[in-house]
Amino acid sequence: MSISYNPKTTALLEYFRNSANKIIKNVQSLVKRCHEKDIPVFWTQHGHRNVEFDGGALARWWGKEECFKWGSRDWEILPELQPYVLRSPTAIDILDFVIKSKTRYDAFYKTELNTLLTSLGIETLIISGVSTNVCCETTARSGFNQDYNIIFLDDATATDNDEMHKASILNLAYGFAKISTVKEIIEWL
Amino acid sequence: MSISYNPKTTALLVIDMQVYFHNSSTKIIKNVQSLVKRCHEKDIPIFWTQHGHRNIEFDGGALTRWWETGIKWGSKDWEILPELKPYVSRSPAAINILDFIITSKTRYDAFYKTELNSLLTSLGIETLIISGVLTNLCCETTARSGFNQDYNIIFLDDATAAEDEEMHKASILNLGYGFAKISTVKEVIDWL
Repeated sequence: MSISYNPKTTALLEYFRNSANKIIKNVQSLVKRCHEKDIPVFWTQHGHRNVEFDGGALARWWGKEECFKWGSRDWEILPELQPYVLRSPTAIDILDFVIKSKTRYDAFYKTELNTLLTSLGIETLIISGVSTNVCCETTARSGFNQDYNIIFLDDATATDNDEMHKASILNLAYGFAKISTVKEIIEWL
Repeated sequence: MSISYNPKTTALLVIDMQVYFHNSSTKIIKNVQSLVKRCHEKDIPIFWTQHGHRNIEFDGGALTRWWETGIKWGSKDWEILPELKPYVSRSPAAINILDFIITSKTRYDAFYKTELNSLLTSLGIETLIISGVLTNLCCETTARSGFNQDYNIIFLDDATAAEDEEMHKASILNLGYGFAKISTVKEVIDWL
């Protein structure tokens, strides 16, 4: 696998506390390693500023009340991870970016993610965060459409139950992604 | 169990039912035939996709890197299955003939760099019925992509097929959770 940089896309918000708990330590290790190796890290914060306008099918499916509000407590990145985020509002030489324009499962959809990745010459993405089968998988598939190599982390993604997590891993391994572990990636980077 | 969407603003997608995928397709051909027939009776627009690469160096991308091969646009493998060809009522330009063939598809996602979304929007479509192959690759990716773009998704358990039962079930599980009403050909035919 030939690579230039390996950014990772994370969506670990307070809203997803239940699923996120089991992977927090792994994500911490991974982010720490990426910082050591100057690997760009992309944090996503899903949030709706105006759910009437930007809720779409997501709000229809889960209900408007479930669509967490941009700026709310639920919207915050988990406190265990906040110290690990090195914010980059505009400066392109600081390697952490926070994408707050995400309003669908797909982290690319109507966000600046692809533009930023392209500007950094990124060819490969490491996907971590929650939820495995909704945002992580949709983003992985979308990234694959756009010709990124995809590395999907089995032990740094999580969802509501194990059955769905395994189902995602099965399908992604078949047609989209190298399935890997935090340990393997840390060694490889 | 009822479908709460409006049949009048619904379209059917028949994804990649091509010779290349003959092995996986055989089990669902009859169901797709019934479904298409019903859509024609009820004036439901049908979008057939034909995945094909005109210039693999240029349009293969991650897909051909992954599979190390690709369907050549215009080849025998690229053709729609002979059992389904008679069911396709072609619409090259005229918007009042209700079948469309999307031959610009070069990724799993039938929306990606194709005219699909433009056509659906021009017809005022709000709901998509997804059928075809392969469940967990093109059908699922297209369903997820359609959901991003705010379409209601109806995904057919017995009119999609994958290489094995495990992968098919895995897709149904995840799509049922976050994206789509999972339905059957019988239920949709009654509903339309």
